[in-house]
Amino acid sequence: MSDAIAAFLFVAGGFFCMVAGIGLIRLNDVFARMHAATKAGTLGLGLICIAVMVKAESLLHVAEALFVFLFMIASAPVGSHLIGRASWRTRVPMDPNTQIDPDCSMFRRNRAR
Amino acid sequence: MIIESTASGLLGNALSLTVLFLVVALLAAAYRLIAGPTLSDRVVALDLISMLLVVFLVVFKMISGVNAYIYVAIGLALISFLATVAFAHYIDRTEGDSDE
Amino acid sequence: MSLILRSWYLLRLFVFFLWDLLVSSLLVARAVLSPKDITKPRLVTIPLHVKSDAGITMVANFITLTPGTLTVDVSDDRSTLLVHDLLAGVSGDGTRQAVREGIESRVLKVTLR
Repeated sequence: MSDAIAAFLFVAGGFFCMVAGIGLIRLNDVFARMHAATKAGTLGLGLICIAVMVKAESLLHVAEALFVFLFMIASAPVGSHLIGRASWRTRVPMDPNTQIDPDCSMFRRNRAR
Repeated sequence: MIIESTASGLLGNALSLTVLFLVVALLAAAYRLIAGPTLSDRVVALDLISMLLVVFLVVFKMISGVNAYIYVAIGLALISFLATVAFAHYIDRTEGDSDE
Repeated sequence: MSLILRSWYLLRLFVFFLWDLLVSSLLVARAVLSPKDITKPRLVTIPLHVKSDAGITMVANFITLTPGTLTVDVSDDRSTLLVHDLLAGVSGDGTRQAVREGIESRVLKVTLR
């Protein structure tokens, strides 16, 4: 029984990682690609860590899998936040359909070249 | 050394399928890393690759049954964002002078 | 006593966050895998009520991993967040309301500021 649950979780986690990869190809601009990489990637890692916990032999192994997930959700958003800020400030080309709230001008950007 | 899989049957097949998915994701990220029009795209791809490496290490721990791999995954999960931070700082400082 | 209550709220925040991560990944997966482009990107400004550094960090990280949204920048006076919404409607009001009622009120119960 635990084999079936773990097998399902492994495949689901791998599927979300693949979605993250395909999203990187298919989506239009940096920000949309960060959505795919951060969210789908984190969920994929989470599902696979839960699968490892299901098959773990001792409490220590459960804790190790939990640590992998916790460290990743603590650090992944930081990286994506910093890339997002750098992209905004350096005026990376956006999807032309992007609507921008009028008061976005209060956020500092580097001057246009 | 040839690593023999300790998992067989349903779980073994599931693990093989997972590794296949991960390889597809890695190829997609590698494509974006090479083709990506801006430097930011490339850094996002690099970020995803390091996350996929952590996922792969956890899966490989299951495949090989060697528990030490998960310690590598813990270490990598802790430091993988440092490269992203450094690159983001670099992009910000070069002030839109990234390629194109 | 209040410490126990805050820990309880922190635990609830974590469970709520895991659920949100699942929903947001499914939404991103749909956007990635649907044959035509269904993304409606929008940059939204969100005024903040949390004041402490820990509160702002938590709100920004949770926004990054919850449905459709990604933190891009914090204004210099730390009163406003710039958020990229992948699946926004015609205005940013829905996003603002979701963040204020969903994430910020829960974070405020933990950090109190």
